[in-house]
Amino acid sequence: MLKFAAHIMKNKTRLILLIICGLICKKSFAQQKYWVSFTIKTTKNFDPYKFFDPKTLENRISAGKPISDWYDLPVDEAFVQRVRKIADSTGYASRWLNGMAVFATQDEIKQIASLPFVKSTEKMGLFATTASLKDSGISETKKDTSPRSKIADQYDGLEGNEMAAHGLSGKGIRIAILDVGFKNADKHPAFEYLRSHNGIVLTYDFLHHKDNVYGYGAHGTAVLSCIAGKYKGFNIGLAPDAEFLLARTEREGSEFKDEEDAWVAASEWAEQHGAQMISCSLGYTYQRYFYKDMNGRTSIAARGAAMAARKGILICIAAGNEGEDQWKFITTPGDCDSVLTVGGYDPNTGFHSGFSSYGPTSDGRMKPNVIAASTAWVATPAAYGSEQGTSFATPLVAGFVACVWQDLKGRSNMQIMDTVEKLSSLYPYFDFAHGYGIPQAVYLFKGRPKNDSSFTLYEEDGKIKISISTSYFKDSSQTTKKLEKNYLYAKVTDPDGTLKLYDVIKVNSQSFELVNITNYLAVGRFGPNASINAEDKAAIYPKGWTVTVYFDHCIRTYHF
Amino acid sequence: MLSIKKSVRTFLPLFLFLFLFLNSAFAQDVILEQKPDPTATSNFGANKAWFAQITAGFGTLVGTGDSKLSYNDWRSNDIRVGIKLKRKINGLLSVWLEPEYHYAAYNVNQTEPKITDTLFWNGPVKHDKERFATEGLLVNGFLRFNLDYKRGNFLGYYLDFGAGANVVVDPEYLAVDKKSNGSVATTSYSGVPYMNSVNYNVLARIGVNWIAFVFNYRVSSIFKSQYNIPEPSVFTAGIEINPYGH
Repeated sequence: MLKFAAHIMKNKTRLILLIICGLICKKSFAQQKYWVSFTIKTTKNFDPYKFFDPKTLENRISAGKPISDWYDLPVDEAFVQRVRKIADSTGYASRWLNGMAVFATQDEIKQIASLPFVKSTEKMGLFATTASLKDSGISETKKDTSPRSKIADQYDGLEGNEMAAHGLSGKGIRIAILDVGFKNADKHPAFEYLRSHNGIVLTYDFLHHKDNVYGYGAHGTAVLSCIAGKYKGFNIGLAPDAEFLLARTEREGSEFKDEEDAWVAASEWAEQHGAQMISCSLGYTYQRYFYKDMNGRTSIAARGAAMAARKGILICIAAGNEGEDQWKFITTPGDCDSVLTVGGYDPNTGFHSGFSSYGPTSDGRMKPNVIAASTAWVATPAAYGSEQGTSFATPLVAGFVACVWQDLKGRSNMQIMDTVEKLSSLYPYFDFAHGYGIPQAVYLFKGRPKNDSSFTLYEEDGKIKISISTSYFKDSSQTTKKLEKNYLYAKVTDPDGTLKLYDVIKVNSQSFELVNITNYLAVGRFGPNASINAEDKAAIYPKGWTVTVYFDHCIRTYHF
Repeated sequence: MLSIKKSVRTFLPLFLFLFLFLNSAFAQDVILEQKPDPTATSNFGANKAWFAQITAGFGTLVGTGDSKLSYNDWRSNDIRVGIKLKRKINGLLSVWLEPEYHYAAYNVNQTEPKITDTLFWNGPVKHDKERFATEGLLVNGFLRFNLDYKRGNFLGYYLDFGAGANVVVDPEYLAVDKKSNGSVATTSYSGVPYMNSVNYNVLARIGVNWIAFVFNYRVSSIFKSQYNIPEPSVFTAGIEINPYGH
């Protein structure tokens, strides 16, 4: 080997190769990222009236929360300095989680762990994240190319006109957007109206520690437009009068290691500056976690989101675009139970977009909560364009939520979240592709249509059958309504209430058997490897199992 | 007519069955179906129990070989294409097997008299290109050490140490001569008898996700000892691409 080394050193090119390898070695083996949690906070003389924006205090009073609590106290600066003396470099410190991110070698982290004020150290992933986005042009299938038609699906899907007609436009609601950058949002004509009423209150780049967020990625520009942008005089999103805090917490298309703690830091910053809502179209998946970690308690971002919700912030999070990928399921922090996780539907079909991530969480909780159009007309750095992804469904719903909150001022974040779920098209039916469906503004003002006569659900000779009332087919307008374009939603739950199978079915006739569900209940529920004694009727009969069907605002349940 | 009636009798039940079946089947169109099972997770993945990925590598000889015959090390390349198969032991350690197609070329310098002049030619000849080459199946086995224990489902940073055997299927010799009239004459021999049918190597690899640098040390001879053909350098360094490892 010495001969080899000597030869290499004689040659410059080989030396460069060696240096590259050395750099990889250094990068990979010198430092790891850890989250260091502290035991206590010793800060005294904390003045919430100086620290918080008046709007934060107003939000807290309005929500019946204390002006300040233990979680608001800053991390003990002496602890931070002590850790900084040991670690190579450090990331953000979190008031809420009472800890900080550090980049340290194994020896350094051992030293840190032995400090008396350190409660625990947790390894964090070295690889960073990808934004939960799927930018791709879509084929224009509509002949109508008028400006209004461009935004019709995304806007009308949520019945934005109803909100506007009732004077709801997010006024007075402060929304923080956490994203990869807001390129040209300070100049783009889509935000002319927003700028005219000083709708962008504050900005901060958590990666470069400066105020300017208008360079870098344009994903945030598109997201912002889905709440408050305008296109040739038409609203792209539902809340053009909302106020915004723009935070850059993520690098686009690169892999760095400080983004998840930046996410938490930005949430704290947002809450400090009066945000009532956070709209975030970022998600973290395999780079750091396995699906089993998607339980709302594991990732730093999910823990930060849970704390933000406790502080009264309503968080809209993209479910992710993993539906057709190996990951398939929702991304974190969308796994947090107290955030509104938003999936996507395809406006052309009216049901789930294939790429929209599926629920449930790894501990079986329902996600996503609601869905919105996952193809949207958005502001791009140069002009406007069509983009796909739950990244855009999320701000569309955020705009909807802002309007609801404007209308129901004084309600808490969780009450508003509950209301939005109840305003959704399928509620109380849900599945793991659509959640409770698409939020509908008209239900806020006129209530849900009552319908308990659309169809009957019955068992006949072990077969689950549907008979749709003749009156349904007489009203042709019902058959073409958005999500309910003749779609029937059916699901099977086991005796424990766990959702085991769900279907979306396009109905073509008045009476038919739910063949897949019948087959599943007959044999499929035993799994592919289970041996079933066909003679044993008692074993075959799905005692305690339930079939629930939603169709045309009507829900029927059949209990075995 | 008789045959038509017979056909009708034969196929009428089938038509009736199809009519009834299709009537039932077309009454609904299941456009989405999911059977969620959060407990059923795959064992296959970059940081799961089992994993497989395609791999392609390119390397060059590093260092000089036997002084009796000079091999042009930078033009002496090897190319490998194959698959990597993984069995995870824990987050830090995994065992891999790597069967690959392997092509190695050993370019002979034309600066001095060569043994090839007597093996293949009737005297000293300077060629524009001259090389020995082997085509074969290379099978490496190695241990992979990861330091980022709690990483997600990706390969991460790693160090590999292992050994392998290269079964030479086709030992070759090739010489290329450009003539004064511009034409090119290529002389090639397949199945040349001077090369060993198996040679062995040890390897070290350092990589991150889809890219790695590989260092090979050959522990056996390329050429059969009885022919006294000088050996090329035992060291190879190269780069490797491993897609689908995130």
